[in-house]
Amino acid sequence: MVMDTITREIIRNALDTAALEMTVSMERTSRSPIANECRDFSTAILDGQSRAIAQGLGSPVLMAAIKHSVKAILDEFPGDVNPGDLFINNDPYSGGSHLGDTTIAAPVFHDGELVFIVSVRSHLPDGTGGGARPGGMYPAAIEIFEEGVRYPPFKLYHGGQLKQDRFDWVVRNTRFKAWTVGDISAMIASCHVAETRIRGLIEKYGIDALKEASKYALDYAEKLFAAEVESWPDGTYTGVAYMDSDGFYEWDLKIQADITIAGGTLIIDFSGTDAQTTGFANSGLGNSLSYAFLALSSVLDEAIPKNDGIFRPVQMILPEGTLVNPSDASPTGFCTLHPGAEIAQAVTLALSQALPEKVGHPWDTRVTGVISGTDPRSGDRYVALPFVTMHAGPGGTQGMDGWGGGSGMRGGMAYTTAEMHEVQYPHRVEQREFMTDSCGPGKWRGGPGTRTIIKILEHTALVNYMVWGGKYPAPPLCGGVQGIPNEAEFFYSGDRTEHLGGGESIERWLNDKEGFQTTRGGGGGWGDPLDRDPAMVREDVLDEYLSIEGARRDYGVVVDPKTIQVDEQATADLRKAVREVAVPAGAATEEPSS
Amino acid sequence: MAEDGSYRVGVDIGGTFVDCVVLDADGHIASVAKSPNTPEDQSLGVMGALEAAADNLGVALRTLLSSTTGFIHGCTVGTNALLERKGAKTGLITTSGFEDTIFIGRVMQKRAGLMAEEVAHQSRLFKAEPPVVPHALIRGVAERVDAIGEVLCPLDEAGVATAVAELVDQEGAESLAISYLWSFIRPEHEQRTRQIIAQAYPNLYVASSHEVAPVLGEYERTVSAVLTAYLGPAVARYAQRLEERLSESGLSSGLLMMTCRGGLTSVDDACQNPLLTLDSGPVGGAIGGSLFSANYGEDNLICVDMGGTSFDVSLVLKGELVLETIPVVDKYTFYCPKVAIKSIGAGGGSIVSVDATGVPKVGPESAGARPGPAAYGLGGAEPTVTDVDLVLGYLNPDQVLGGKISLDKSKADKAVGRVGQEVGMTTEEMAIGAFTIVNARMADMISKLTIESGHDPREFSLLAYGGASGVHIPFLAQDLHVKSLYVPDASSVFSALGMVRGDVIHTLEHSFIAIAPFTPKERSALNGLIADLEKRVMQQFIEEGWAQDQVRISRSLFMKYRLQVHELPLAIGEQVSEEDVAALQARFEAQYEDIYGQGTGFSQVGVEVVKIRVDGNASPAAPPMGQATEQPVADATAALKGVRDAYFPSLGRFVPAEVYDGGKLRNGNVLKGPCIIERTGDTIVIPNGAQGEVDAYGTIRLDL
Amino acid sequence: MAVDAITLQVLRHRLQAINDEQIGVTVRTSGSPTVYEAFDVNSSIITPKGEALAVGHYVMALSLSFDVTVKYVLERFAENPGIYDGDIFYTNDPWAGATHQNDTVMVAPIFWEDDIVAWTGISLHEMDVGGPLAGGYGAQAVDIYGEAPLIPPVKVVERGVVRNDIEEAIVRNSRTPAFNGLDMRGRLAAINRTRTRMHEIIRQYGKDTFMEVQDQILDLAQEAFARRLRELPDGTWRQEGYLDYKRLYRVRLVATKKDDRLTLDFRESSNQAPAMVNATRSLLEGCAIAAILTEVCYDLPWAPAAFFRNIEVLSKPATIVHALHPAGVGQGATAVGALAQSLVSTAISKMFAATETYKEEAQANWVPSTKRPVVSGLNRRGETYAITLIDEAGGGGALSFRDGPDSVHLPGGPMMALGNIEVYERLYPVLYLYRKHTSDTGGPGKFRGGLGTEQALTPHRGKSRMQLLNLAGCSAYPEARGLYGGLPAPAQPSFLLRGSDVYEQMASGSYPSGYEQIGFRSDRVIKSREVIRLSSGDIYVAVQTGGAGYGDPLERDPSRVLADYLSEACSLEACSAAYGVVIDPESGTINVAETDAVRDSMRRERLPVTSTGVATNGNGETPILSLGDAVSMMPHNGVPAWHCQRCHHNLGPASEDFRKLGHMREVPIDSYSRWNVFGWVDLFILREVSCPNCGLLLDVQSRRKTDPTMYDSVDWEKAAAGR
Repeated sequence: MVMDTITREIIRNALDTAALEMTVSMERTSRSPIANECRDFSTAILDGQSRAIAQGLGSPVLMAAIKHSVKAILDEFPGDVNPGDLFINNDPYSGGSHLGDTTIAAPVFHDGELVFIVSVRSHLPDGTGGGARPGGMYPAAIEIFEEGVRYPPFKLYHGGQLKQDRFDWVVRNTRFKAWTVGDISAMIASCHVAETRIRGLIEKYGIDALKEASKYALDYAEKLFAAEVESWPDGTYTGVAYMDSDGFYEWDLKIQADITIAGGTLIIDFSGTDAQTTGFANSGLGNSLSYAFLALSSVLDEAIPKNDGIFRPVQMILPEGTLVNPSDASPTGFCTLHPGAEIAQAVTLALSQALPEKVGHPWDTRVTGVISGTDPRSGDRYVALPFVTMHAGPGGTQGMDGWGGGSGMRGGMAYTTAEMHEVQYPHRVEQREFMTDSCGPGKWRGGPGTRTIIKILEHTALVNYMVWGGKYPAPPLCGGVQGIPNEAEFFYSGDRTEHLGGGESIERWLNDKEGFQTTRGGGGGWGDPLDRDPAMVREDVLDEYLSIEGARRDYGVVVDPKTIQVDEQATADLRKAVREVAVPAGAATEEPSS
Repeated sequence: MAEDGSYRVGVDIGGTFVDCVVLDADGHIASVAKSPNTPEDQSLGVMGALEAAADNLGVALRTLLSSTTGFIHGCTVGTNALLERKGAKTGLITTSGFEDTIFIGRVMQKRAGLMAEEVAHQSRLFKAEPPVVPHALIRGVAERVDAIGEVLCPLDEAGVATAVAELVDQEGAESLAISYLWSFIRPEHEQRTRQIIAQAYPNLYVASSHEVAPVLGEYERTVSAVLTAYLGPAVARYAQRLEERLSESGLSSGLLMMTCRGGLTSVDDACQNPLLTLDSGPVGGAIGGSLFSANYGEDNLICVDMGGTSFDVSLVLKGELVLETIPVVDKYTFYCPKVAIKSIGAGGGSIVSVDATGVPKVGPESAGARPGPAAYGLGGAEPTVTDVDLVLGYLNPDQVLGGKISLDKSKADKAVGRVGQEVGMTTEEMAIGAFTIVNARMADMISKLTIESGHDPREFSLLAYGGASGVHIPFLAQDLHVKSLYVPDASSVFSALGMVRGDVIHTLEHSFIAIAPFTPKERSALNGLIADLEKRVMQQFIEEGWAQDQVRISRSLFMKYRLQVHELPLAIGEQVSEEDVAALQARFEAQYEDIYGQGTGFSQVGVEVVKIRVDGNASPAAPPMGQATEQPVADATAALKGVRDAYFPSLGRFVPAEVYDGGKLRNGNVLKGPCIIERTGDTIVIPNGAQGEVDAYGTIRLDL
Repeated sequence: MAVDAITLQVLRHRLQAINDEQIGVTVRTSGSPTVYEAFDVNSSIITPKGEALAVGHYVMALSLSFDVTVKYVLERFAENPGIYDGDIFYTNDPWAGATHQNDTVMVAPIFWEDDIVAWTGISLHEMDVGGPLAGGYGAQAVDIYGEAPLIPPVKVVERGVVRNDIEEAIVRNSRTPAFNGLDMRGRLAAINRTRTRMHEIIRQYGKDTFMEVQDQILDLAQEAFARRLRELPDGTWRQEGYLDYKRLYRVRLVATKKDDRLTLDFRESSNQAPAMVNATRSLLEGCAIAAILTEVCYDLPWAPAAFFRNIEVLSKPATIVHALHPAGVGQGATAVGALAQSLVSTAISKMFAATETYKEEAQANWVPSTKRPVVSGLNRRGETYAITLIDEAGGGGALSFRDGPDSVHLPGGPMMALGNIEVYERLYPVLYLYRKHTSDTGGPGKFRGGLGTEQALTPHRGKSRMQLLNLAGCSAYPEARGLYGGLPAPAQPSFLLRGSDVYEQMASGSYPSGYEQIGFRSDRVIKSREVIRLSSGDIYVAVQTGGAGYGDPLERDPSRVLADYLSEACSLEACSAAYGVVIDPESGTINVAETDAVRDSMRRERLPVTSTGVATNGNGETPILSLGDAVSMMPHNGVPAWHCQRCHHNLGPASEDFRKLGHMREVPIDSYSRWNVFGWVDLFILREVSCPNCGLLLDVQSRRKTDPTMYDSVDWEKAAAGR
């Protein structure tokens, strides 16, 4: 069937819209703040071969994981996917990332043929099911069994009927039954929304047109992608990033991406990556692919649809038994943060050698945790992911400074406000501000880091906290300098404090008015700071992103403390002097001393 | 009469009687005799039974024995010595730190071998008492081997010498057992210990666990060694004495001993491995069953023996006896492959009573031979199954048992009636009820045994022997829907008959662990192992004077799903070919699902071989059964001797049943139920709707 | 329609046989040493209404709550996903009938035509079912989520077809998925057999008979049980036990028997713990009935539902015996469950002891808690292993006429077995240095409790350190209760010896076959349910306590004490400290004179300071009723009174609990056994009640110092009159 491009584009966009509607539906109907506030989910419409045709907003780090989770479903049910079925899958070893993210997928049939699969992947509030500690993140884990319940692909619906026993099972192991039931119901509803939309399109345009348009969408993306890659300089580029620790006892774990560009093809090879590790920082295959593609797609032209078509010209090499593709039963609870970040960093650092003008923020590192307890106001149990503390400074890009308060995660995620946090949880957010001199200097500087203080109010809360990026903050690019590292400090009654550095995790019971402060470091800079326009440096001083000492130290810009004006001559002299003795930046890519 | 010689004689020692069967050169039963058991010196009872058999034949004992070409014997010396704790004073030398292994008894020693009803009674669960080896006769010595056979601690030879001296000189041990951890994979320490003992006490009986039972599991292996040492001297003494007596009385042929393994063996072997003689008596019947299976073309046979106190069941599967690898005797579990015979307390002597819920029950208590059933008039007041059989008209009230005990039906009526009153039943109702219950218990037992080994009773025929079988089994066989029921001639001495027709069997097993399908290297190793075992089995036969062509060899691979422990044997040929290897997993899985049902296999985990076994059989007698000599005659009128009222459940009433004299039945006679056949030693009731046919060997086959 | 007694007997037996068969098939097909070596398995047949009709003799508590599972399935799933012929449901949820998460349950309806005619179920202990701590239990959990995951009943076989996706989802949460899968398939085979066998019955006897028989089994068993209860005295018996898990919890039982009703009131027990040791309500009932089955119903058909018609179990929600979700229950069965069972056992024994018919059934407590290492790590091939090593045995309680049996199963699991050391050493990277009976573990008494075992192990050839959960209770105080002056079995400590010299010792030719022969860098006591990590050469030593004693130890025949000394059941010190028997170790003989003197002085110590040596009286009268060899109730001119059985001293009116009449003194718990010196020596006390005239020991209670003594309230006059 030959179809005009207009119709194909209309259908392609209609599918994109449908995926977006899934997002909206999810956001409106889900119960947990993780989903409805922070959009830690992803939606997709895939064709009958589990190729993603369209994706909604949300957390793009779930992008490849959703596709691979759906693929695992099809693989596990050969010839047994039927109308009225609906599947669940959260297993990192069935295409997933970590147990917290659960995929719901429903096949769409037309005349007995599987034509589409609609799917939502979302981070459920207590992981999908329990685990040693609320929230599913357990730094002491050395096996996946400690992190929660695995639900490899099985049918929640069979022949159009929800199987009550299976549904009961899934919600039985979560600490937050209402949220979990709500979120899973929302995921199912979201799939129904997409299915209805697709049925409407089939009715309107006919199934052949939809198939044709789907194929077109993939081919279109592939073509554009290949054309873009074609324009890139051939060669092999190596990016190396380090992860602070695995949470257990391994330190300085290496992720290496060797990218070979040859004509319109691309090979991303992670063979140089360290072997999988004992702790919870192994990355499920779906997660590794998501991060690699995410880093890749961030240098692509915006016009290229981010669908399965762009996967085609890329060959990914992820050897089994490494951090990026561990063997069964290793824990992966942390992977959506680390080594997810380092995977993206390694890819970005490699690409930065080929495409210095295009690369930007190479992914930030995390201070994160889980706070749980019983809310004294309501008597209900809660678990809080402290998104309110997570605003980080993204890195600079050619032509643009990293802006402050970014989510750090690209895409549509949003972070809670202090007010909302206090409404939701019995905590007080005492401080939440950008930090002076926290940005990574560069011609285009990184975004400022954030300091947040949270106090626990009138109850005892269990806090699991992890600091990564203390030893290896987000790397700067193209001669930029890194921002300040992440750290945290706990405050206990009696003025006792406890410091937490990179790669460390702790578990503490905090009482009334005890709390912690987190420092989310600044983004790395892009390009030599000495090339930064002194006027912009002055702006930063005025904005208190930078101190006068900092302007001098990091940028060689001399600002008069009284007038707050740049002393042009002093600046030129200073920059000249510095350049003569300067050591090239980019220390973070050096081999660590272990 | 075969004056020119070649009798085969079988003598089986039972609980109360010594049974003797003499076969002539044609394999026909020439003489059957019973004589009282003489527990103090069993050889005297044996001689008594032989005298009686010779009497029956009308020849002198010396004549009988001198013309005997095969003498087969099943004795209970070992069993009795264990039950009565009259074995040798035995010392045990074991790995230091593990001296209490036989006392701890894996906890299960308190209930091993008990019936479910007894296990339920927690306050009455105790260990084997007294222990075969007391605390004072156990010495631990320093030595240790680990699970991969590495020596962690060398054998303390001086310690061994001291321990041996203490045990023998101070404690008075007459026999020693040695059992060290992991000796079955690394036997040097046990071997060296035996040397040290031999230097000091060259004539002491010594049993080493790695020789007696080279198998994983220190409790059962230690028990095996200990029981061997405990029973060996007694069995050896007895065998020696019997051999002397027999040879003095003219026996020139060798003596073969019946084993619980289901075959015969030499006296030397039995003395070295006295465990082979434990509970070997009932095995004679099972052997009879396996021969019967071959002769009558009944591949799958349930062999049941209902006697005075117990009901024993064994199975013949595809012509082979089923073995259990870890039997229990007197609360001790040990390693010695033994024909699997399961017993429940249901026999003629089982007592009829009312249980705690007010429901009638039968057994497990038994009145035994004394006071025996109420009808015996020996003082027994409790009604028994025999009394019930009498009330229901199955047994002849005028018969005299063993020439001594006459039955008194009125006593039976009274006893049964009294229990009936307790639950508001008439005497007859009570009798019918008890008859139903005891039959159902036996049927449950049969189902359980066949089902647990993965088979359906409907695929089997039944072979019933023992004094009380003929009355009960025909009825329960109807319920079990077995193909047919056979009651052989001379059923009350069937065990002796079985052993006299039994094979000499020698078996070797060897572990061989490999996952299917094998590599070519594994296959060749396997074939090498098979050939080696065959050679060794054959060697033993040759040493015993057999010709190579008299020995039949069979080979089995024991396979299981990986991770499982219970394996299934698969018969294999002389050598395993590549095609065999390819087919192995499918054959195993087919057999497994055949047993446990569709969908129960678990291919994902894979299939592995764990051991191989080579069995050698040699048949001492040829042919095993004589030829038919008479023309068949259907009409049985000549044997009809009267009519008696008896109860037939499916008719729901007493009806006059024809009574036949079993001794006068001839080949081909057809008997239609309801009727009763009275033979020397047993009575057979043919239910209405069933029909019996007599064959040339006196076997009555019932079509149900 | 009434089924005749004969058919009833036939079918009752057949149902029991069918139930045994399905366990047989399960055990044969399992690959897990927990099942085939230790028999941690059981099965039950249930009526369509969810009443337990028959239960196996293996680990009983495992299958005593299937009624809960069946009711759960009936209530929740009748419409969706529906219940069909050939369905099998799987669960490990303790609120849905499992004992704890490791004990996975499979239940199936048996259909005839369109109706459910029965249910059957099989439960067994899986080596691992996931969760943070390998092997299960979740000792570090703060709630149920930190334990192994819950699988509420889920249909794993539908209309005879295995739902592969559900099966996979279940086993993938286990560290031992192949074993779990095998166990699932084996039980499928067993349940198929049961279905076939029940169909045979219906074909032969008809459905109506089959259904009627089920009712009659229950009715008759109930009547028999009621008759037995009526034979026992009416009254109220109080007992209380402790449980140590990070802190001390109490389980209190007030057992009241009136006519043919038995009320077991646990409402005064502690509030629930955060995790691990709690029992669910159904487990509490299961453990209570397990004691009733083996101790009261030993000669009745085991139809638990029948007995529950006359038993009421009272409990308060959110207590340690009646835990509410999300409190953890990972070790419920062998923690609170076993303790509750031993309390019921004590109450029953006290009732039995007061009767002529059943006094020989009265038995002091068996070992009340496990002592098992749950080990995990990487084996010598680098593969993950996780297993509860069932390698220990406690002792049985003494009876009024003989010593308790040594090394027994835990009460309620008569068909259990210990694994062979060689089996464990072959399958797991572990080396046992010894396993032996240990002296002084039996509670002293005129008849002493049986001995427990002691074993020591070290990791051997594993590819990782060994994680070990000390799955133990009563580590620091004596728990098993004695009867009528019999002492409790001592505490059962565990020890960790770091950096031992055992390999060096062995290499040099000497063998460390006892704790005292091992050299080490450091040692310490391991607490109940503590998790430790061991390197090769670190030693875990576990002492399992014995059974409790019966009667005053000073009344024990000295020759028996000597025999205990010679067979190493009793140390020289304990012979003298607990029994007052002085033995000359050189000659191995009793010093009679000194023994008499020591025993006299020990009895004198029990007397009140102001003992007046009250004249004995009542001699020659016929007792109305006796309790053990301690006290007898004498007519005493129409005012029945308790008399000391030894000196016939009149203690006081029979309307009082004799414990209140004797002289009480408090004795430190470390006074009689070398195992009572670790841990909470200062927290606990023995309260001894003796005849104030002659010092005969009448009763001993091991109590926390601040807790009250427990007394019974029985109308003994009425009890005596009713005999």
